[in-house]
Amino acid sequence: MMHRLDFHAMGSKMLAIVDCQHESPPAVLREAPLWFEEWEQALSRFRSDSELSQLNLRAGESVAVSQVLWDVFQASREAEEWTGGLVNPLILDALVYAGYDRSFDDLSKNPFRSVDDPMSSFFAMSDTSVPSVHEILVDEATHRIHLPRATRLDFGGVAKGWSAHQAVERLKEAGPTLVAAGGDIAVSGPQLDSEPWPISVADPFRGGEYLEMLYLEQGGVATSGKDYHHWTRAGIPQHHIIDPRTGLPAETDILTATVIAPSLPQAEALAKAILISGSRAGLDWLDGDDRWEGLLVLENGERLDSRNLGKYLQLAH
Amino acid sequence: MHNKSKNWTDIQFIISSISVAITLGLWAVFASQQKTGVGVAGEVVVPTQGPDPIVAPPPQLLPGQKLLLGGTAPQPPQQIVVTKRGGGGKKGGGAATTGSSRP
Repeated sequence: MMHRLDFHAMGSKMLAIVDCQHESPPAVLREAPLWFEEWEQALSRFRSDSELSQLNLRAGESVAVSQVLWDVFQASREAEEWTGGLVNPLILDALVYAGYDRSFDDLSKNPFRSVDDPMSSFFAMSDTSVPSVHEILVDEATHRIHLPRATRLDFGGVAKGWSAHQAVERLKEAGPTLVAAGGDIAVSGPQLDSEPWPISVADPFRGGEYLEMLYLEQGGVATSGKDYHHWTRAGIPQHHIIDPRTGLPAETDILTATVIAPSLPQAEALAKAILISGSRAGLDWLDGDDRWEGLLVLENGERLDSRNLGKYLQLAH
Repeated sequence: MHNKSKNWTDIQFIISSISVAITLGLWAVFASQQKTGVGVAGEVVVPTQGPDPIVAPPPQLLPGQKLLLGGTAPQPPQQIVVTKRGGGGKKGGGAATTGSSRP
């Protein structure tokens, strides 16, 4: 039987499904919303009393952090490494400047707003590259983080991907598991009948419709896009995918990038990096490594698949 | 003649009393307003009378609705839905959908 729990956390819709023999739902499934609440309280930049917000307030000092924050910090450093610096946890000031100064929940109330102030025309033309993650000093033994002065951390999608991955790890004891965190999906293994999990890819041009169906046995699939949250600043279109090389919203021909990888944190990081890189470099990235496949939807409506995406497009049996 | 004189005296008395009463009444009214407007130098005067307060209409509750007086709003019940295996999708979709993050 499929036991499905929908809930809301981290500004997004969450979904957890456990496939098990019993008709009664596994007790551990009811705990999932509590885990996400605990992780959000540690990792959210939108809560002034979160551990992350407190750490950001103490930039310039060495601060001991919890295991959760430490683990996500490590995940963000790995994401930075996998993507050659295109996923960077120090983009917060650039994000806030671009206008992403409130949660997805609040942005959704007016996703097409205009953020203008008298100085924005001047600043919009300036180049404000983001500091490197290597400027952060860490003590591996005592789990202390020392942020450089005037810098702030934001884990963004890395925190969401890490959380979904952790939830799958905890739930899979009860049976094959799928966890979706705002469109980023992790699965623990094939369903009990040995079938892969069917996962729809949303069509960015037609809300509520599907572009493709992927069949995934294990790992993660994530989509990064600039199709939903966008606004203008000094008349210039803005979105929440920041290119750390410029500190500005990425200039890219990709509207959405969907990536399948052995783990959700990898898929999430690569999807964002490919979106920032653009279609040409993005396809090279996907075709250059057997571990990941993907599907790109361009702004002009064109769709580009990675070379071996076909193995995820049909049922094996 | 004597009676006529007495009546006139009574009328004068009544008029005087009313004048005194009106004078005292107006004094009380205007003097109290003046007190609120005038303060000693350096003293911050807080007006005791502001504009008419805006009174919110009482909430219209529908049958079954509850009026919450503080605290956090109750979350919708988290219900686990049990379905048979085989697709699990809705409207022909998959078990889950990947797309740009949205609430």
